[in-house]
Order: sequence, then structure tokens, then C-alpha cells
Amino acid sequence: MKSPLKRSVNEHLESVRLEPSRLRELERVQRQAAARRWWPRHGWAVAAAAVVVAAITVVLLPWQAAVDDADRAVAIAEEVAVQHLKRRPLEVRGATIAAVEDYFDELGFRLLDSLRAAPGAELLGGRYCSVQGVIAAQLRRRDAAGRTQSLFQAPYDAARFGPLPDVGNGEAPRTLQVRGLNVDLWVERGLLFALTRES
Amino acid sequence: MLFDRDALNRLFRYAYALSGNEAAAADLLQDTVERCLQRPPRPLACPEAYAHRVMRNRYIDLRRRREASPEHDAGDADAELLAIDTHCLEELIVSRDELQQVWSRLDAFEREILYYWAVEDMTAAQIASTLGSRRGTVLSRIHRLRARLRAEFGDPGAVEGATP
Repeated sequence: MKSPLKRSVNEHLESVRLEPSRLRELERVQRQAAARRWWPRHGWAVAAAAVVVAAITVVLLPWQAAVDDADRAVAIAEEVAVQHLKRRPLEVRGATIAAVEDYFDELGFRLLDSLRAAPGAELLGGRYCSVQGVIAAQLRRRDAAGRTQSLFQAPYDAARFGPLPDVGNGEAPRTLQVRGLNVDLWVERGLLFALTRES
Repeated sequence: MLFDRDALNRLFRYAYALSGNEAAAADLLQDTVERCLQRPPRPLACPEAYAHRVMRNRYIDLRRRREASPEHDAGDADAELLAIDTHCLEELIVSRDELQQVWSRLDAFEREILYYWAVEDMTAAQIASTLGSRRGTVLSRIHRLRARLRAEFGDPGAVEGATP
């Protein structure tokens, strides 16, 4: 049937199709080329991403750990400062550790006289409390100037409380200023000590 | 994948327009696809247009090894040619069977002109620009192509449409 040339050309060309086997071969060639190109193209990106992740890990993990440790010390200081300021009634009265230690038989550890000298300080008594979820004793005392102090003692758990100076190793306590108080934190003979002092 | 099945078939038709037979067109397409895949890995805005250019250059290279370039005799943009364009092909009436008979006897440049005119709907100027030829060259070949198609089928009235 006669048709305009344009239509005949189109129909003629439309009738021409690549054999399925040649089509499959060309698709296979393209897939292989794409696979060969992936690594040269993306390998650098993958390597660069790995380097960035490694760098972030190396730089950020110690930094993050330091931040975590600082956060934990601040949390302890906050908690003991609040307990000091609330001035809850003493549950036991006594002027020495020996006088009050029988009352604290539920602590699971023995109260200690700190090696840190507190000249002129006078023990008033104590009460049960907790520090960061760990059972603790809060001892109230008066310093030489007549100011009230709270001395907290709890079993030291490094994972929970973070690294703190051990005065047994000659290290000085860490002091933080919280809520208008100085709070000294240290470890001594396996116990956490937290001392709140009014300045 | 650079070319899906539809794109491969479209490229195959262009290869067929260039080479004039299906076996040569399939080889030309294979060669073109492999060359496109070997190019430096940069994104292509239009992979098919790039493949057209690669295919045509490859075809001309192959032809030059055997004979002169298909458009070697171009260049006569006289006054008569300026009066024609692809619209003079619109007037021709040819059956598909007749076209099939004459297709392989057309030269590559003529088949390319028919491809771009019929499939891509290009004017002579657009075809010239696509093929990197002068418009006069394309017009001259259109003029000769029309004359040849009319001559192929004997009676000009049977080939040339009922132009009023």
C-alpha cells in the first residue's frame, strides 16, 4: 500500500529490531562495564568515608569519654549539694565514726575516717541516703569556723562514678563549685567521698 | 545501565540507516556501545546523542578504509537548491515494500537524511547541523534523493503524490 514517504520510512525502520540474543549480549556488556567502573568510581568515596569515620572515632571517642567523665562528676556534685542544702533531719547522732557506725549496718561497707585532715571539724551525726543510685551515708559535721559540712561515703564504682582522684595515691581531690558550695570529690580505700563545704 | 532495550533498538535503527543492512548495523551498534562504555566515567547529559555521534564517526572511519566519505561530493548550494527543503520529500508516496527494495541501494548519507527527517522530524538545517555538514550539501542530497526515488519507481506520478 502506497503511503507518504515519511510514514513508510518510519514503518520500515520500526520493523527493524535487534535480535534478542544481540540485545542480551549488549546488556551483559553494559552490566560488566558498570561493575568494572563501580570501584574506580566509588572506591575513593568509600575509602574517604572510612577515613572520615576513623578520624571521627579517634578524635571524638576520647573527647566524648572526657565529656562523659566531667558530666558524671558534675552530676555527683549536684546531687550531694542538693542533699546538703535540704538539711534533712539526722537519723543518728554522734561525735565519732565509732559512735554512729552501728546505725549504718545496712550500708554494706564500713564508714571510714578520712585520711584527709579536717582540723577542728566536729561530727554531728548522719543519715542514710544515696548517690547516683548507690546506697550511701551522709555525715554532717561542723568545721572549725562553725560552718556545716556534709561528708558522703559510698562504695566506689568507677563505671558509675567515672574516674576520680585517689588520695591514697597522693592525688588531690577534685573540687567543683555547685549551687554556691564547694564540693570535693575523691576516692579513698575503695570508697567515694564527697564533701560539701560552705565558703 | 547506559542504554536500556528501547534505547538499544533506537540506536540499532540509526545503525541500520547508516549501514543499510541489519548484520552490519548490529556490528556497528556493538562497536558503538563498547566505545561508549570505554569513555572516561563522566555523566552524559544525553547518552543517545553521544552514541549517535560515536556511531557515525565510527561508520565514517570504517567507510573511509574502503572508499570515500559518503558526503564527499557535497557543496553545490545553487539557487535551485535554496528553493527546496525536506518538504519536497513530503510529497513522495512510496509503499513500504518499495522502500525496502530501494533502501540498501541508497547511500549512507541518503539513509541518514531519511532517518533524521522521518524519525527525528528534523529540517534540512537541523540535519546539516547534526551531521556537521553544510545546509547546501543536505539540500543537494535531498534534491537528488527525490529524483532518485522518482526514477526508481518508473512512473513519477506513482511515486510523487497527488500534489494539486
